[in-house]
Order: sequence, then structure tokens, then C-alpha cells
Amino acid sequence: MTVPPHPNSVEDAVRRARAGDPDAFEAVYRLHAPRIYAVCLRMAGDAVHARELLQDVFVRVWEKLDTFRGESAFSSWLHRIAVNTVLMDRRLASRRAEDELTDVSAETPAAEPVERMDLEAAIASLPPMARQVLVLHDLEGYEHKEVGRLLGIAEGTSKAHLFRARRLLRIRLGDG
Amino acid sequence: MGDSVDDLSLKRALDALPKEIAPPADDWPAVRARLRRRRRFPLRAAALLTLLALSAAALVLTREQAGRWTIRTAQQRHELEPGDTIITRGNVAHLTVGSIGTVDVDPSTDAELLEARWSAHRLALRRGTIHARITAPPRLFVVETPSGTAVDLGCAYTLEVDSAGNSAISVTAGWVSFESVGRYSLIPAGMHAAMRPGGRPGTPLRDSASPALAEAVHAFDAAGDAAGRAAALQRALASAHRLDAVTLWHLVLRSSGEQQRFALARLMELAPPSPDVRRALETVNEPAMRLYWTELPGTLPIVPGWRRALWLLWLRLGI
Repeated sequence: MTVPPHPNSVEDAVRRARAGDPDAFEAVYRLHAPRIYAVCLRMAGDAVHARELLQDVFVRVWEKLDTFRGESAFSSWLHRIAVNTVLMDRRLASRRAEDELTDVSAETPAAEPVERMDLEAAIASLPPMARQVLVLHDLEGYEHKEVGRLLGIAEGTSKAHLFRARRLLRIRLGDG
Repeated sequence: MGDSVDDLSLKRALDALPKEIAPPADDWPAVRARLRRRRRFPLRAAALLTLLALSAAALVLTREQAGRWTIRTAQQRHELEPGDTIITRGNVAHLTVGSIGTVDVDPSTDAELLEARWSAHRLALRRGTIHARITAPPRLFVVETPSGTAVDLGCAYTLEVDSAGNSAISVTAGWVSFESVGRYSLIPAGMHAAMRPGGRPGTPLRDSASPALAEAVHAFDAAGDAAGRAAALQRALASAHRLDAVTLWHLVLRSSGEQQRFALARLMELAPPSPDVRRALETVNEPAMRLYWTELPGTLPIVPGWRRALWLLWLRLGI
């Protein structure tokens, strides 16, 4: 296994990866995989699917390396590809069904008491759209305007989903 | 169901979540297996290739333009194609030779365009007179006559062909190679030469050469026997001046044995060569004579191949 590169050598690894060096790309992968996996896991809400998405992201990054112009940090560029990959996957799988803003109380899980769920699990249990808005806004720092653009919804709808997501989390993390 | 976690606590909990989560298994082998071999050109190489492609396209257009002939008379103007004949009766015609020059055609001239490409322009002059002004690499513009070929070496000249096929050329700028039956005459500006069908190119003479030298050179070219040639050569050597060095240079190459040594000695007397060339000419040979050529008054350097290639490149780029 290749030792992850020191941050100072990331630029060099990216440059060599652009030239087609898979060993250098492995170094890039090992450095960034935990950060990207976290995004995939929280947005997908499923560990197995998150691993598939992680692979998809890095295959896509490999294919798009030539388009990385160095105008932004590589990590930012990589992060954008990860978010886009996850969202594209969501669109292709048509996973936004039954994700309406109605009847919130009906979606409160009954199988397990919310007090036993840690925050990660609570996030994973959120309805997909609410989860994605929450992850993008509260964890990844996107503004509502950009969240709306990424998810194909209005800015106000993004705010509504966030309100709903936070409310569900509070409920599920509360004493019940 | 009430909210038992307040907003601040939730925000703190969300902020405290780790930004990184280690994948539960090493997915690199799976990623590696999916990577296609990348043999993409770096952006700079792609940009360079694009530039080259655009240059090539421009070159094609330039070459097309550089190979186009047009004819303009008092009545009309149109493009010429290889195989077109140019017959002027009482009129004159003005030809544009691609992007390298012009040819004025006198009345009562019969010519044919044989080749019109950016890298080769060839005209057949059967009868009449043309005045060519060419600015191009050597040997790009050629005029065939019944008695030989005038090869442009970057020049302006008048070429005349009579009804018997005899040619006469008079060079006003640059120089011309007049070629026939494997022989050639190099004719710089201010000189002229003649050529008969089936004969070798006439020895060049200065336009202001003395009548005595002109008579001797004509006799030398026309002589049918060695004795006649030797006698004419002696007269030519005797009447030549320093500015006639080009004429003598040709006479040296057209003589042999003792006559050749006499001619070379006289040439060296009129136009002393550099020590290196003198050493090279201990025995007369053409490479040494070509070196000597560049030291003669009124000559231009014989163009080496590399310079011709450079000029051709220059022309190709349309500069």
C-alpha cells in the first residue's frame, strides 16, 4: 500500500496523475478517500451504496483530471465532483420518490426509539431530500441558493427541507 | 411529539461530526481496476496541435493561392490552368505567377502554361518575348524554350525565342541558369546569352562587352573543331577585362587541356582568387570553380541547398 503523500507533495501527485501515473493517483485517493466517503455516506445514507459512490467519484476524477486547471484547490474541485456524482446517481435512480414535504409526523420512525440513535444514524434515517439538504447546508457549508441549484429545487424549498430535517433530527435525538 | 433537542445543541452536534470517515474496506483495488489507461495529451500539447492544424489549414490556402496564375489583357482577366495557351497577336498580356512575380508577354508570342503549383511554376515559350520579374527561391520558376530551359534563380530577365527556336536571354536583376543538354550557363544581371536548338547554352557576355570579345565568344561557341575553338579562345582571353570574369569562368569550364590552363591563368590574372581557392584550383574541377565563382566581380553566391530549403519554407508560410 502506498503511503499517503504529505500535503506538500499533493500537487506533485496530482501532476503525475494527470500525466497518467496510477501510482500517483493512488496517493491522491488515499489522501482524500475519507473526506469523500464521509460526503457519500451522509448523502446516500447507506454504507454499501456510499462505497460504490466513492469508487464512482474517483473513477470520474481520473477521467476528468485533464480539466483540473489549478484555479481552485484540488480538494475543492474533488469535493464538487463528489457532490455532483452523488446527485447524478440520485437522479438516475429516481430516488426522490415519496419525498414530499407533507405529513412529517407520519415519517417519524417507530421501529426504534430515537434516543438510541446517534446523530449519524439519525441523519441516515432522514428522508433523502431532507438529508441531502441538511448534509449540503449544515455539514458541507453550501448556501441555500447553491443547494437549490444542485438539487434542482427552489431556494425556498431548500429552506423548507432543512427546517424539516432539523426538526426530525431534534425529534429523533430527543427523549422521544 | 415534542422537540427535546434545541437548535443550539443540534448545531453543536452537527459541527462536531467528523469531516472524514474511513471507508470500511480498502476500495482502491476496485477503483484501480476501473481506471482506463490515460494517454491523453497534456493541454499544452493539445493547444499546440490545434495551432498546427490551423497553420496547416492556412498553409493549404496559401499554397492554393501561391499556385494560381492569372492573365490580364486589355480585354479580360481570368485564371489560367496548366495546359492553357497564351497567344498574343497584336496585344500584350500580363501574367501573375502565383504570389512570386509577374510575366509580361509581348505581342506575337506563343506560350503555354505547363505547371502551376506553389512549389513549381513552368511555362513553355514557343515563340516571342516575355519579361519575367520573379521574387522566389531558386528554381521555382522555369521557362522551357525549344533550345533549352531558363531556370530562375531569383531575378528579372527578358527571354526571346525566334521562329527557328533560337533563344536569347538578357538578365536585368539577379541571375538565371540557362540549361540544355546537361550543360548550363550562369547569367548574372547585366549579361546575356543565346542558345540554339540542340546546342549547348551560349557563353554569357556582358551587355557592355567589347565587340572584339563578343566576336571571339560567338566564334568559340560556334566553332566546329578544336583548332577553331582554340583560336577563338585566344582572342577572347586577349580582349577580356576584369569585368568579363564571368565570361572567362565559363570559357575555362568549356575548354580542356592546355587551352583550359591558359584560360584559367588569364582569369586568375584578371580576378585573383583567394589563397584557398587558388590552392583548390591547382587542378581545374567544378567544385573549386564554383567556389571561385563567388569571388568573381558581378556574381551572386551559388545558392546552397539549405538556403533554398529555408526560402521554400519561407514561401510556404506565406510570409
